[in-house]
Amino acid sequence: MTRTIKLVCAVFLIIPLLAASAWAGNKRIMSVRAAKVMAERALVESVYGLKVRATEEVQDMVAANFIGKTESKTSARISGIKFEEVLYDAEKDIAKATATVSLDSIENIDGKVMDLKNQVFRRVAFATSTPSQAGPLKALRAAELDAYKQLVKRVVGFTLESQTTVENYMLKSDLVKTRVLATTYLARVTDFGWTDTGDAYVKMTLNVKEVSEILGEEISGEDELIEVEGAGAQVDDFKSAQTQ
Amino acid sequence: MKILLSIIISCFLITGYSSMSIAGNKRMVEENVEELDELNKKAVKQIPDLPKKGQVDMKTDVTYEKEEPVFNLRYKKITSEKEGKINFGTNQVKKTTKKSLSEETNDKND
Repeated sequence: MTRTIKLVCAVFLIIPLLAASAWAGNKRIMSVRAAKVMAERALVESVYGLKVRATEEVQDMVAANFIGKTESKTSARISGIKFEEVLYDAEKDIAKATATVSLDSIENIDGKVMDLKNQVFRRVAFATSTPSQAGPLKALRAAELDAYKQLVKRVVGFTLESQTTVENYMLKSDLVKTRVLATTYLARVTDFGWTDTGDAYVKMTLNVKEVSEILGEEISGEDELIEVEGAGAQVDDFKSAQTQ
Repeated sequence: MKILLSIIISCFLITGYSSMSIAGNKRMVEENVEELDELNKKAVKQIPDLPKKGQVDMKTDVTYEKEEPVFNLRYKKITSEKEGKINFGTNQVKKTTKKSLSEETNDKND
């Protein structure tokens, strides 16, 4: 009888332990796999390129009336991607993957063949399978998209549409709209991170001279090196200000 | 001693709360709005013969050269307002007249 009780107790103790360890392993695998996919996407965006569509609209220059939207799209198959480093923080359930690729040439998103001369492209990405830990990662992606938008606006330009009141030669912006739809490629991430407050930043550069050499085309009217810094937040305090 | 401890704890809490309140997208939106306002005013100032009082509707392409915006105006409509007296027989009525001038330059269908 005592033996049976001991056996039952042992089974009750072992089952939860086994289940917990199995769940932890699955979580880790999922996060690592997602980070690898994110790193691959980042490389595709960097090398093959991406399409960026962004609109901004503000009425009477009141921040609460601001509507801003940025969308990105890309689809390509790049072979030869290698993962240099994969880190996993078990406490936070966040995985970090560093992917590299070296290509001789590639046809980019615009259908132009780029002679890359086996340059090495490297991108870092993070992922988690725990929704409560996703805040900083979402903010980082928002900062990345903001940087792409700024890069496109600087390289290609954009359309500005407005209604302005003139009163005693003083200008008052009533309605301002901007719109951009363009592709970008060969952008390099030079720095990224989070500020003390938790907001994310991504610094990107585009070497116009290098791009024109790779494309074999003259790109005029711009500086040699374009640097932008995108920002992203994990706290939506703008929405709460809008409802006030 | 208890009072001192509670003051120290309060100070830490206040500092923590204020640093948290700085985070978020509100500040980013406000900065973006300011940039848009500044850019629009720069673009409107490029239009010659702006009226003293009126409304300017415009559409322009913006590109950058040496980090400075360059505007290529595609459409503009200026509605100027002037104050004056309009005579309808015996009664003199003060009225504002509006003059509209619009110009389209290479406006593409996009």
